[in-house]
Order: sequence, then structure tokens, then C-alpha cells
Amino acid sequence: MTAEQYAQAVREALADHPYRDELLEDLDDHLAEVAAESEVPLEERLGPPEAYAAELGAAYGDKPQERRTRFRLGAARASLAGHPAFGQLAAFLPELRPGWWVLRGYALAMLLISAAGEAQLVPDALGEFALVAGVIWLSVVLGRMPRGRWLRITSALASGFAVLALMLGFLGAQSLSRSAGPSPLAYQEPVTVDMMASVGEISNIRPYAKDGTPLSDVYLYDQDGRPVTTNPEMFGYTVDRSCGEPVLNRYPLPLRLESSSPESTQAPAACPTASPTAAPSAIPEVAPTEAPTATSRPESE
Amino acid sequence: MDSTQLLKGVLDLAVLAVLDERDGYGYDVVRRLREAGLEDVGDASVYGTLRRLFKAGALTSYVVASDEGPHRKYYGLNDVGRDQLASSAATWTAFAATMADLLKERRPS
Repeated sequence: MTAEQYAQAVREALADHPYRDELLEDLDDHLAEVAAESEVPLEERLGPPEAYAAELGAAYGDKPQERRTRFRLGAARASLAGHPAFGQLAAFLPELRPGWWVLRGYALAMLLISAAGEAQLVPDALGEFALVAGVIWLSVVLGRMPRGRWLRITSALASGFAVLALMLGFLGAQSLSRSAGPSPLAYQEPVTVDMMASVGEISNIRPYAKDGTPLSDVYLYDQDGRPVTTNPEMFGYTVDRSCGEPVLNRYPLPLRLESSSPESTQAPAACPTASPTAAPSAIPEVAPTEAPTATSRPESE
Repeated sequence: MDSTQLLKGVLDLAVLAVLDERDGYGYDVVRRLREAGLEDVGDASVYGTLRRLFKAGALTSYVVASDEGPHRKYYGLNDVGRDQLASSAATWTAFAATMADLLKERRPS
């Protein structure tokens, strides 16, 4: 390790020292002087750079607790620094900083705007655009300043708030996109046609095509995607379950009068070959377990 | 007894005393302290002490260009440094005398 490398390692170990530049001002000259005196490598004469840095910090005066964590961080960095991938990453990360300053400024400005009024993700007034530009400018200026203790604290606070604002923004955007429309996969509570508001009483709905052809297996939904159902039981009808549990918003419903004998409706006009797969996915799956018990099979008796 | 622990308390005084003799640069101070008998003194401790005393306003500094080696930053005492040396020396002398008395009482030769 040359005197320059040794000095660099000490500098890195003291990276977080509040007065590092002041303290290490003459370090290079000093170490060069020490190195010039003897052929013995600096590590052997002065110990590892991290220990040297710790001793420097102790003699100069700083908080021992902080120094210990710094020491460990410094050692970890020193062992990582030998890895080429780490070197590339370390060289690349500073290039991202200007981008972060801009994003930080934007997030802080939107946090301010949202705190003052309605929560929003983009500025929509001239004053708001000006504020956003101003805060971004401040954030960049703050990022470019030489680092002192107070500046570092301010900068960390600003970044913390910006991260908070970004997370709030992402959450807000996500819930917005969710509420934009009903998800076809979500189960919706059925709505019942309002009997009182409608003309007369509705127990069933018989849809027809415009040429007069009666339609069957028509699924009805309201404006929110909820299945539209009637309440046939109120009018003395029961839903025919001989073909299994029917879908209650598929019209016309298979109804029969409760009073009528089972024989009269016995001939179960061919059960609609309901293929649940063809139905929109919002329809609860038909459970066909009850069906066979209700259907009589004369030839077997 | 670990002399490095004792040294910590009096390193400021030792550095001030060495510089009072004549101005010196960092490594020169280290060498003179070792020659005077403080062999355990750490290079980093002396360097850190010099920087701290300079920051506290007890030292003046000037750079001397050198032909064969790196530039050398010399440190010397100013009035603040000389005052500090005088009061620290008085404290140390009294303290050392007390310790000497203590040890003398305990083990009369």
C-alpha cells in the first residue's frame, strides 16, 4: 500500500467525520514523510488504516460511539472495495444523485401542495408549477452544497420526507386506478329491482330481441356491475331448482307457482345446457350437486 | 501500568513542550517525542493532537517547501499556546509532585 492508498483508506474510514477535511488536510504530506523514512510498509509501521483513522479521530476528539460504528463501516467498505462489481456500483451510484435531487424536490413540493389543500399527484395551477420548480431548484442546490454536519441532517430530513411523499403518492395512484371501474373479477352483491318504483310487480323478466324473438339466458347487471335480481318469492313463485341452483340474474328465470303440484311442472323442459364457463366471471359458479336428486328417472323404476 | 493510558492525558502538554523548544512538522514532533522517551506515542495520536490544537487556536502553522520530499507544514506556539503550556505545566508539576509524595510515603527507601 502506497502512502496515497493508505491516506485514501483513512479518508474513507473517516467518511462521516464532521471535520474530516480539516483533520486530514495534511495527511498526505504527513504520510509521505513517514513513508520516506523507511522501506517497511506503512501498514506494518502504523497498523491498518481503519485503526489509524480511529486513533486520529480519538486524538482529534469526536464521539466514541459514532467512531465505533464508523470503524466497522469503514472495514466493511474496505473489504467490499476489492470486489470489481462493488467498484462499478460505487462509481455508478453518484451519477444517480442529480436525478434523485429532482425527484426529491418534486415529491416535497407535491407533499406541500397536498398538505395545503387537496391531495394530488401533479400540479394543476400556475402557482403550483412555480412552487414545484422552486422546490426542485432548492433540492438541487442543497444536493450540490459541500457537506457539513447540519447540511447532512437537513438533506437527510428532506430525503426522508420525499420518500414518504413518494410512497403516499404511489399508494394514492394505486387506489385511484383500482376505483376507476369495477373489476370484472370481484364478486358484487346483487341488487334487487325496486318493486315500488317500478310499474306493477316484477317477478320475472322476459327479454326479447328487436325482431320479437324471445331471448333466454340473458344476464342483467346494473350500472355498477352488480347482478340485477328480482324477488319472485314475494309473488308466490319459486325458482325451479330441478336443474340445479339457477343463476338469479339470468333471465327469464325458471319459475313455478308454489301452489302448483310438482307433476304439472314435472316435464323439466330440457335443462338449459348451462355452461357456467360461458357466463361472465362475476356469476357465482353453479353448484350442480343438488340436481340429480330432484330429477326423476322413470325408466330405472 | 499501561503507559499509553497515561500518555493520553498529557499528550497535549508533551506536544506543546516539544513545540516550545522549536517549531516542528508532524512527523518531526513524533520523532522528538520518541527520542525524549515516549516510545509508545502513536503517529495518528500526535497528528490528531496537532490538528486539534491548531483548530483550538493554540498553534500557528506555515508551509516550508522541501526539495527532496513533500511540503512540510510546520507548527509553532502562539500566545494562546504558550499560556496553555504554562498552565498545563503547572498543573502537571503539582500533580506529579503529589504522586511522588504518595509513592514516597508508601515505600520509604
